[in-house]
Amino acid sequence: MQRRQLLKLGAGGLAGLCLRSLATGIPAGLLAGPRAAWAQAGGVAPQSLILCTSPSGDPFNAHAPGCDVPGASAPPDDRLRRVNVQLGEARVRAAQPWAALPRAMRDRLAFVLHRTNVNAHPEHAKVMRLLGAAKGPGGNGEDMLVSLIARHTGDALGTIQREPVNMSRAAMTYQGRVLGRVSPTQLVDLFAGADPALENLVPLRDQTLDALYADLKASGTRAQRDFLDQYARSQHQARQLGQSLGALLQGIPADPDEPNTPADQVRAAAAMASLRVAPAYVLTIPFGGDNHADPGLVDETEQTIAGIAAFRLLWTELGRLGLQDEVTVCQWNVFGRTFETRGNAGRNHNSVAHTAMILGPRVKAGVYGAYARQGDDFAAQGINPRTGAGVASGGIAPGETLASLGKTLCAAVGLDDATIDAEIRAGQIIRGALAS
Amino acid sequence: MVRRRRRHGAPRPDAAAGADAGAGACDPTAAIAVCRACHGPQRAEAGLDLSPLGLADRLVGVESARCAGRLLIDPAEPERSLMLALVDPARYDAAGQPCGLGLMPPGSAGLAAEDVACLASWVDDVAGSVEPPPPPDDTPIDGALVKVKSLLTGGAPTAEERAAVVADPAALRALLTDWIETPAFEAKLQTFLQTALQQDFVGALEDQLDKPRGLRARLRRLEANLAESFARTAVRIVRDRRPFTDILTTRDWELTTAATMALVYADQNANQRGQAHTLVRRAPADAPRPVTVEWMVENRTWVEPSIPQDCDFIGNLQSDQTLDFLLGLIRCRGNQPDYRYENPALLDADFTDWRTITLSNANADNPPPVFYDLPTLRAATGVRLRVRRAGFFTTPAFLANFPTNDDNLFRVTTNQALIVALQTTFASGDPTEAFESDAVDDEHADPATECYGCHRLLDPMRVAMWDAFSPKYQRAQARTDFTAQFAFQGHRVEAPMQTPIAFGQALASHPRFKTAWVQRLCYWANSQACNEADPAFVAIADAFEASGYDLKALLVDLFASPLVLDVPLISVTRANHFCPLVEERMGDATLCNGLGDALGLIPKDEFSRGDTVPAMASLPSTFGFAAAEALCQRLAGKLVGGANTGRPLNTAEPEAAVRQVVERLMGLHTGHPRHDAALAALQAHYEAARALPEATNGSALREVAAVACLSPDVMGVGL
Repeated sequence: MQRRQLLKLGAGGLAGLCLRSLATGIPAGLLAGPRAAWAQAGGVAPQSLILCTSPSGDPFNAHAPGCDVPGASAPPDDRLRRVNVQLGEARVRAAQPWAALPRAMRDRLAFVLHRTNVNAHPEHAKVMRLLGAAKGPGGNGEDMLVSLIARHTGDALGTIQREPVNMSRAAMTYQGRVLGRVSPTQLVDLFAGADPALENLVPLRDQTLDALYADLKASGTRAQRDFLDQYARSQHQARQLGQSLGALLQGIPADPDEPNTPADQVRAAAAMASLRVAPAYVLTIPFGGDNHADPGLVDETEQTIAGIAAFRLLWTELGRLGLQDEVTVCQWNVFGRTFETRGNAGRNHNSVAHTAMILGPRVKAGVYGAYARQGDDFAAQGINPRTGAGVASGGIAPGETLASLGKTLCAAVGLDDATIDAEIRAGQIIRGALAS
Repeated sequence: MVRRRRRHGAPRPDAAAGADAGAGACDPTAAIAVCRACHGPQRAEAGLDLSPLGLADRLVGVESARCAGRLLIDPAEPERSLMLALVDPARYDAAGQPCGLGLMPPGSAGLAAEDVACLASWVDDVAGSVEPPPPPDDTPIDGALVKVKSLLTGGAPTAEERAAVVADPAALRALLTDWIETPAFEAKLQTFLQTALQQDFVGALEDQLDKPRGLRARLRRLEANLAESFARTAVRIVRDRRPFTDILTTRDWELTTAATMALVYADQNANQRGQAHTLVRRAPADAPRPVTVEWMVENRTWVEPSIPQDCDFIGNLQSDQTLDFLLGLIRCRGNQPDYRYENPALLDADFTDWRTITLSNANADNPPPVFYDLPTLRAATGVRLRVRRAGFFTTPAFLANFPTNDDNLFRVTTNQALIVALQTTFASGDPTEAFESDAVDDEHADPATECYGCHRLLDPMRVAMWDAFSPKYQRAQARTDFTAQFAFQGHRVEAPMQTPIAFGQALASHPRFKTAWVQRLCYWANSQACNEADPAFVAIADAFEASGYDLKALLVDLFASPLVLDVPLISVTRANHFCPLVEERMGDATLCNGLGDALGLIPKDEFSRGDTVPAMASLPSTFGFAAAEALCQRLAGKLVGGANTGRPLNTAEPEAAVRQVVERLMGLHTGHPRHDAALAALQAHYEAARALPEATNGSALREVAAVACLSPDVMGVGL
């Protein structure tokens, strides 16, 4: 459905049902400029978030900037050889594919070396809740960081829906309720294959749905009214998306024999971000998976190279859609993996060494935090919040680096300090990792 | 995973601080400050942060992250607060050592009596500071009735059923008892159990069946058979009113010949795998005419005359190639594509001949059958196997969903079995005393590491599976040298367990089993957890145990209780409920045939590795609505037809058809308060659609059916 048609429907075709949903908090995201309005009101314009995450605990830390720790096992393949990588003004060591990314992208890439403090896959959700430090609305209970961010940025972004879109392998929640998963090819089926004849019936259909529940909306219980409101809202949102998204999803899947690859997810997320479908999108980009047993680190090598290529594609897509200044990307898993390989077999979980990546206009490119040998592997040290440097003592304690990553990501997407401190009850913002 | 949630209104912001003054001479803040070493903002053990700012907010009415259903401070009964039960030895014992947690501080015998009294006074003050919650709306009788009947059978309540419950609310139990004796209920139960027992195929059979190939339709049916097998088994257990704990130990499985063949294939030893078979185009001279399956089995010589001349087929078959042959695939050498023949030895009927087959132990004197002996398998009511399969966690489907490997060695499989059986998982804080065991992996055997907390319990337990199955292929293997032992959340089984059967028995004896299955049904009914500390919940769980774990009795108790009837959440209709609903209400069990792609786009009940909470999307969403609209459009096409088509909505009688849509599809019987308004709205919709250019009765009725299907009465549960 085109914007013109939407206006037409809004003016005459969508009766009380949809108008009621508009009155209960749905902004006309495509038509207004709430992001600019927020900025004009003195705030920092919020960013959409693309979160790449997996409960597998991929060995992302093994080859990302910051990986070149003394004594770590040699890279398994020459394609991952260590080279100098320029990140903004910082020169660091990392696997070669990172150096091959466009300079403009590398100028916005920050890597935070920290601890997640868990080492079991089922604790992914716990990590996403910053081990309880990320609070639900009003400070009650716990909330996933992506939910917390979406709660605060959705209005200002003027997104069609408030809940994040989950295309990942992880079970994600919004305000404690499980988000359904949607795959790129499902999106294509819904929005790129719509029956044109149906468009003519949409106003009539909406009018009847409104009439069917007019009484219940007035006199029903609160639960009934809430459900009808939510239902009407989703109905209105679906209409808004219409064929605009369908057109942007052309070309998905890139390979019909292997649908829903990271590349498909990346392209779908960028397309949805351009229409402000949601405040956040959750994807999974594999970097080797749960590779206890990966002889020769073959999977790790191939997936690391493909994963970095997926990030490059994301950067390209965001550029094509004019979104490079409006979207922040974060790569963040349940835990990292040991730098020491087990002979040639693979890597174990590492609860104290995880590398998160933030790509966005508000980060200062570089590597923050540091790894130091601990026992038979490596662990993240504390972090000087002002400079971002790794510290053996003082500054942010190692155990608080996870919450500090969360706070820093919140700052990068535009949340203000007071909100961040109220919503995340541990850690500190790593100021040194933010662009001034 | 326990979702923490508030049950009561928000406490006053300064409640905890103000409570200090009310504690009289004692000062609990010093004790709480000590607790903060582990339960502070930086290290919130068990998710508990006792830092002063907003403390009451984090305690009052908040469920413990480690002890499902127990409130840290219970505003209704402060004396029962978990905070007190974990520091007061008397309360600790009286509460039955809640969730197997140890007394606090760790390693102590709790607090001294005067400190407990001081803390209790403080807890009481803080609990009393909470604003009372607003009274909930009464759940309307129509919403409650439609919710329970839709969930149990897909159908909508009739006017008579409504009248009976209005006249006497106790009549609901009789209705529930009737509904759970219907075939529609059994179908719904099977779907529920297939997901709850995590048999829905999300993995692959490659390891267990050596990457089977064949006719794609045959492979899909084999997967479907294996997914359904244990769900059907569990349904039989429920139908026969056997103890539901049988799902953990039963060796009487519902199987088809094809599914039995898969079990026997995975049970082969090296000798059997090495047996050569022969494939020929023409039967040898000594074969009977026509050649019989019995002769082919006996001679391990397979005759397939349809093999094209240009296929240079492989004539000497290994066992995996023989399995492929039975499934319809013949491998051709060189660049020739493999040949898929139309009528494989494994017949269509071999995928539908469900029956109870008793699994028993094979030994040297009583070897298992061979997988290709189809006549024997077709006649079998019992099968001897080397691997001692018993319970839901030993099925090919479960093992395909949660495969292990040489490194993991059944940890993931064992953990997942716990999640299904007991709806809980390992936690490093579980104080249960572990058995001395050499099965703890050297890498995790150091008590100083955080890994040890879980591995000391998990590693000895997983040996029960490791003793039976090969980690690489999840099929039969020789025993290990380790001893399997069960200790988990306060429950220890002293006798070693060397088989999956013993593991199942240990799970069945765990005190959490009854709670887990009440909770799992709560999720099914409400799309969210029930409060396990609610006295109604406890009573229902106890009654389930007292009934000998009769799941039907539990269903009646639970669905007639406020735990289901008074829950205000209205959920979207997920895929698992949509088809039973429209098929039952429209009286056509084939309505969803061919809707697969469209159906796959609306949310469905799912499980995920390591997660104790099932994924049950309940919120309406943009994508859900778009998917529902696409689905309803397709369904409407199947509902409408001429008088001779047999479809439920007859184009020759549009007025009656619109009435059918209201009363059957939407389930609004003539006595329903919204019946007349709905009928008027859909009649108007019909007229408007009929007035469109080129419209017909059929197109207008399809539009009516689509919009009714899309309505919250169909796409919502319990409106």
